[in-house]
Amino acid sequence: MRISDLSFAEFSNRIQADTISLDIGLITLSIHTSLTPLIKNLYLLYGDYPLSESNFADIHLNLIRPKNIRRYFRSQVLLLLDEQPILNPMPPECALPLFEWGLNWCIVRILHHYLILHAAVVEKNGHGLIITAPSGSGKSTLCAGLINNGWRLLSDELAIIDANNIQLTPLPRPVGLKNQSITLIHELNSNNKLSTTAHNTGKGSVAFLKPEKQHIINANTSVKASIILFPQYHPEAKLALIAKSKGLSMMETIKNSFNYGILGQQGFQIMRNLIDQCQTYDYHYRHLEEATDHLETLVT
Amino acid sequence: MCIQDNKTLTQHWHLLFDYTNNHQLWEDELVIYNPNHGDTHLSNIIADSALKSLQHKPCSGNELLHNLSTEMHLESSTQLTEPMIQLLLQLESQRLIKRISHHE
Repeated sequence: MRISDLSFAEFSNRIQADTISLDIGLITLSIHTSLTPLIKNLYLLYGDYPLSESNFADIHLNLIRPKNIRRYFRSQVLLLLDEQPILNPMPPECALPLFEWGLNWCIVRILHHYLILHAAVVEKNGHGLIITAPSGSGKSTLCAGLINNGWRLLSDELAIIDANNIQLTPLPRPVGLKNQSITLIHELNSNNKLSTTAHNTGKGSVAFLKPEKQHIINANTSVKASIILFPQYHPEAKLALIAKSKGLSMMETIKNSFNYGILGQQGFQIMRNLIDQCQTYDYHYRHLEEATDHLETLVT
Repeated sequence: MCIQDNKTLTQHWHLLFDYTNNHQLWEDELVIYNPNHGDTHLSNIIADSALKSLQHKPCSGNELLHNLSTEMHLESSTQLTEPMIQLLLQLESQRLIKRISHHE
């Protein structure tokens, strides 16, 4: 049974009165909230996810408006993990980004048997493509553009690498888009389903793209990591795919890892195996469609 | 060459970690993991030569220089002297190698 099998009223009643538990690839997530705008966004974005049949959840999140004096002026929303606040509170209109970023925070802290990178991951023709870069490099925009070109979404924020076989483990979640990318992705395909836009989030305006149902259904199908891309969007950049040396690629990928240091020697071994088996490139781009079309050459 | 440089070459050095299982060489790039401190460093093929020698036994800078010249089939090690001094100081600062004091 999927969330969209519930009516919105059923979903809303259940998430307010009790919790909704859903399976997202590797993890089971339990959510409770009474924030109506957030409930609407969750129903839209997570509609195709299976409801969990287990009583156990890996992560329990609760979004509330604290009942303190601030609720009367400049109200805020708190994200609770196991009833303890995590991350800084945000205005109610930023509840969805707070939820998504908080969920990333939680996932990174429980999956230490994997190497986790700050990266988008997509797949086509059996080739796993890792797009890793600091925030603001155009990673998610490129990811959304590739999905539009028929690539499968494995994850927008976290590359989860299995230590045993260097396979990419899917964790398909809504794709976070910022500022101009929101309009760009909407214009690219009017069928794209986007959440409401949250403004003044600290990262500018943010909206989330609903993942495709088929990508959620395939959330248990891992793929071999084949290519690592270090993208850099610039409005005046000339399209360029430049082979990057293995050593520099490894050092840069380490910088974009959440738990390399925690894994110690095992992290080093996974990382060197990952880099060794992948082609690695710097990628400079300006036009999204030109960039996504060009990347087809890597997998055909 | 200053006195400090000369000491760098004449003193003996020993390795502070297991090199065999904690490095990766790709062409002329060497990535080294320091299991004692958790740091990862990017270095070069000269470091690979020096660290392989030190994995075998402690060596002076001059011995490392000689080994490297032999590996590279060079008649003279002069052009490698300065890079070797810089490398040893760098590896020392990265806590990968240590000078053997007279008391050890």
